[in-house]
Amino acid sequence: MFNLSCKRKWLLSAMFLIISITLFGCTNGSGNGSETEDNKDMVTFAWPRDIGDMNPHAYNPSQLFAQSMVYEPLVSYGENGELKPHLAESWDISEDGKEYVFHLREGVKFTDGTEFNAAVVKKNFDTIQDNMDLNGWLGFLSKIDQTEAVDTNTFKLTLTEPYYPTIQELAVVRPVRFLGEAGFPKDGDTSKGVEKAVGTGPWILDEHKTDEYAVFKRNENYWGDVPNAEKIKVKVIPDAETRLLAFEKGDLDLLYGEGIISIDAFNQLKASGSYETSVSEPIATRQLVMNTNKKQLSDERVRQALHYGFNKEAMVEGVTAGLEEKADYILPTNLPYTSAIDATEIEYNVNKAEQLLDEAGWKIPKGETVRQKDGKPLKIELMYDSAESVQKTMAETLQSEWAQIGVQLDIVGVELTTQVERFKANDFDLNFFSNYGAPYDPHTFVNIVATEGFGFNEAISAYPNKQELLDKITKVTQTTDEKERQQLYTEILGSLQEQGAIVPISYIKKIAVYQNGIADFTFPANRDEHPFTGIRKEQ
Amino acid sequence: MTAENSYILNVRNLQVDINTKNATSPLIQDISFGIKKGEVLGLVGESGCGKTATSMAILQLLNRQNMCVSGSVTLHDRELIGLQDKQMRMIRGKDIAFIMQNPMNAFTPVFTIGHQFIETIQVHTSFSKKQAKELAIEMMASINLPEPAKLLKRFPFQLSGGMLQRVMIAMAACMQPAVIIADEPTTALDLHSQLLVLRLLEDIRSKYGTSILLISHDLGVISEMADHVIVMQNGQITESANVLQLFDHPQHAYTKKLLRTRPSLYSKKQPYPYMM
Amino acid sequence: MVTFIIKRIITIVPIYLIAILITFGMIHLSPVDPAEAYFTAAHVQATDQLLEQKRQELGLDQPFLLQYIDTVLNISQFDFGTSYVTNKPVWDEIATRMPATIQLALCSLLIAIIVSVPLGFLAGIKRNGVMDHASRFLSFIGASIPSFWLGYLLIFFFSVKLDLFPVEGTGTWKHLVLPSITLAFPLIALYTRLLRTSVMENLQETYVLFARTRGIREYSIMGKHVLRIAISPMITGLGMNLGHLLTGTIIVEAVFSWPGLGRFFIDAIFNRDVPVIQAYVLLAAGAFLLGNLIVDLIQLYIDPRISRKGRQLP
Repeated sequence: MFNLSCKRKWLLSAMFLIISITLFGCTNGSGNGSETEDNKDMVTFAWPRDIGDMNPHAYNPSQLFAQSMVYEPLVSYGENGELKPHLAESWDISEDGKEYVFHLREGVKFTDGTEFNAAVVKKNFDTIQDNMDLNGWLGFLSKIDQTEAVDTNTFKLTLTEPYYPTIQELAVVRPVRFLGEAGFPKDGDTSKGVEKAVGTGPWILDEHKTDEYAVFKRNENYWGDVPNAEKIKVKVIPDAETRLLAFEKGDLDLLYGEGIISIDAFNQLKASGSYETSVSEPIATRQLVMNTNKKQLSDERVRQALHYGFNKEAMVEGVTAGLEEKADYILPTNLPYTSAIDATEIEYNVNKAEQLLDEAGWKIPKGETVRQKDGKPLKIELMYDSAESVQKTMAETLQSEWAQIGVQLDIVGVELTTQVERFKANDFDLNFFSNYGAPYDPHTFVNIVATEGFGFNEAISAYPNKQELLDKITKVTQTTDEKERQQLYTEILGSLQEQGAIVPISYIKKIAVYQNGIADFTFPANRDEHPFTGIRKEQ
Repeated sequence: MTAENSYILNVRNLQVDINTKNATSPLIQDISFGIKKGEVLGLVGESGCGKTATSMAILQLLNRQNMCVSGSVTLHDRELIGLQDKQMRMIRGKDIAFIMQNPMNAFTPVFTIGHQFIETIQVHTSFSKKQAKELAIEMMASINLPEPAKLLKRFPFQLSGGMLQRVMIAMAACMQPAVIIADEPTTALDLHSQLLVLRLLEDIRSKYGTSILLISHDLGVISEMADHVIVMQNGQITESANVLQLFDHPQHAYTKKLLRTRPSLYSKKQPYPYMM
Repeated sequence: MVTFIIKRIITIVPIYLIAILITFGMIHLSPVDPAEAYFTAAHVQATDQLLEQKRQELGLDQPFLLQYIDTVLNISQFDFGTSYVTNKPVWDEIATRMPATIQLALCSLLIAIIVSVPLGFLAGIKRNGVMDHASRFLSFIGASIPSFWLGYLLIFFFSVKLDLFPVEGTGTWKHLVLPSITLAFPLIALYTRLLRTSVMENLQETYVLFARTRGIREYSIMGKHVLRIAISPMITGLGMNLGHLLTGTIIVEAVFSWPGLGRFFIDAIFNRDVPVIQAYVLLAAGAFLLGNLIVDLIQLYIDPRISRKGRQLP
């Protein structure tokens, strides 16, 4: 015991060593010291996830907005569904709708100096087609018969059947965007990763610290308008409150996205007057899907009654504090072919709702609150994503509103994966859904509706014209007649909505908040793309 | 009667009151006694009569917040009551040493005997660790403890009760205190160890002339060791007499009762003959 | 003493094997089909053919025991499989993120110890003293405040308002302060109380009185004798609470954007990334066992009664 002092010294020095390593091992000189230096022309932005691999053909966890900064499409999706030339200057579509010839833009270079040409385009298409298990979801890809690099700047795509959405689908952020030659692995297969993130886009990935931040610098040799901002820094901040705090402190210049901060936080920032706030046009519709396979819901009158039976305007305004708008159509009207849908607008009318329910045979017995028919109560269950507070609050609202008309609504919160599974398995009464938006719709939406095993196809089983609708859906992507196409969409969407199994609730919008020094911020027309086009940081 | 200034430890009118929430009740009432140099004073009484409280009062270790001590306790004519804690601390362990009842619990279990022994020495002297260790070994050897150096390295739980008690006595005697207060030093031990302990105390008394306040409820021990005896009951001294007188001619009813209630074993057995 | 250590280390192996068995068993008993989970995580529509293919790839068609043995052998070589989401080896993903979490956990532990030992000790010595009330207050808050809320509060005051520390991220020691304090708070609450109670109990012990009669200085008695014994339950508590530390990092890392394992684990759960989940659980088990071993060793050092078989000498 008398060499205690010896042992003690050992222990103490060991502890001291551990402490110093712990504390100072983390000191990273370059870490955030650069924050103050490049602040002048760098826009700092927060995102909940790490940007992932910069591979144009990869999915989760690569983040869409980041991929769209580096990689570009042949065609870009503009305001109100206008499809504009991008890497393809123009294109010709054959009479039968199966052949597409793209005239590529000349003089476009990848960031490593190599040429963008038809050969590279084909190489990209080849690897995409080699991985159809991953990419088969994108309509036109599974219909490709062959691809050909006709000459340096001409690329030809041949389909097995006419499919008009091809051009629209080319605007999607992934997978059909183009990687430079040097980025391909030796075997030409990008499914495992890329060698270098070589793209043609306005931004180049400069620094990337996984799970911490990524810095993009502008492509000085960009073929189009060189960005105003010199750098974009994406900080990875998974927590919504922390994002808010970081923004309030001034660490962030811009907050942008869907659900990036809570509705309350947004309104708070707006009310403070110290920041600029922006809300986008509708990007998607929040829908309520009714399963007509269930006895109570198989009667159209019941479905209509439910729609009449709640105050949509008040609910949307109340739950989303003005950030979403009451929806009258199942798809937002700023998408291609969706502006002329003919469906009855349903206004809040409790009397009408009660009348319809009575007509359908659901009556309230004496002394009870819930309607009954043949001894069975009018009980339905609504499932919602437990992580989505808007869905939850809306479910609760519907519960109390419909109780007024004698309908018992049970609400159940489930995990997203469970919600998807139950929808697929037709194991639900009511469900929330929202469409994908631009540039996927309207064709992707109607395709989904027709797809067996997704959820909609089975849900509309009680529609008397179901087969007719399915036929029309098959036809609409195949017809080459523009007028016929519009007509079909009008009929399909109108009929889906009219018969009440898909109820439009609200239009979802994106929000943005930025510091006073940020100017020229615009929302992208393509829901998945980045918002940095034209953004400027004033001194 | 001997003159008061020949008492090494002199207790006069010691009063200890406990302050409970509502009332003040006396724990020890007006006790007076003195111990001369080299004398063994026996303190007898049943459990709870105030024996331990008395020794605590002498050492000024009673809880000041709820105990009120008055009267006079002098050591070498120096008043201890009201003395500053810092000065009292210098007296404890050096001028007045204390031996506890249960040696197994008295030592700090996580330190070796040696650590605690040296600690005690170093508190009262300016010896270095080495010097203190030597002193400890010397002390233990002089009282015939086997292999002192090894003993110092042991932990308390590794030694028997008897051994611990003897080490405790060694520690107490090391500083050559004027008074040793032994609180029930034999109660927790087996007969053989009791033997050794009492012998040891006697040894120290004769070697160093230490006065001993021997507290015990074991009348056998008292009869063997003490020169003078005081009997306590309910915080008061009921009888104070020379040991032979007390045992042969007890005056107080309580003393008589105590003597009567000794286990019959004693009446059959002779007092420890080895002492002769 | 050495034999004791070796024995303890050896007993870890069977315990860990059981841990692997349990995790493995739970995954097999769960209704989630790993092949399906893979495709869901990869956001791919799986045909039955693909599912069958994947099942074979993952070895799911083999008997349970063979799969188990396979898993054990793999794990002993640090092969925890491949992440369904990123398609990279799980061990690589974990290894890159582990240092950050360890750093955070160690720092918090350090803070917790540095604060709770003196606080608990002083609280125990003087009952109803200033320190006692302070410790009671801290314990109450620490036990009731959810860590994420505490994190937000600290960020709001010390970062946004006072600009003393950064909001989130890593880089300098300043980044470490707020997250460590947040993580340490519930620990402080617990340990302070533990130590306080232990100290108070010890004050009544005989050895304290004996030390006083020997004239030992009060602060020496308290600081050396009492503290050494009283700290024992707190150290045991430390070992048992390692689980809390690990789960706490999940929340704290999310709030402070700390690039560690916790965040990775949350993502894995939401994505049903089975290999990662399994790896994390086993890692946690391993850390727990290791932590307890270290704690036992410390106890050994502090309290000699444990290792020596009290052989009594006459």
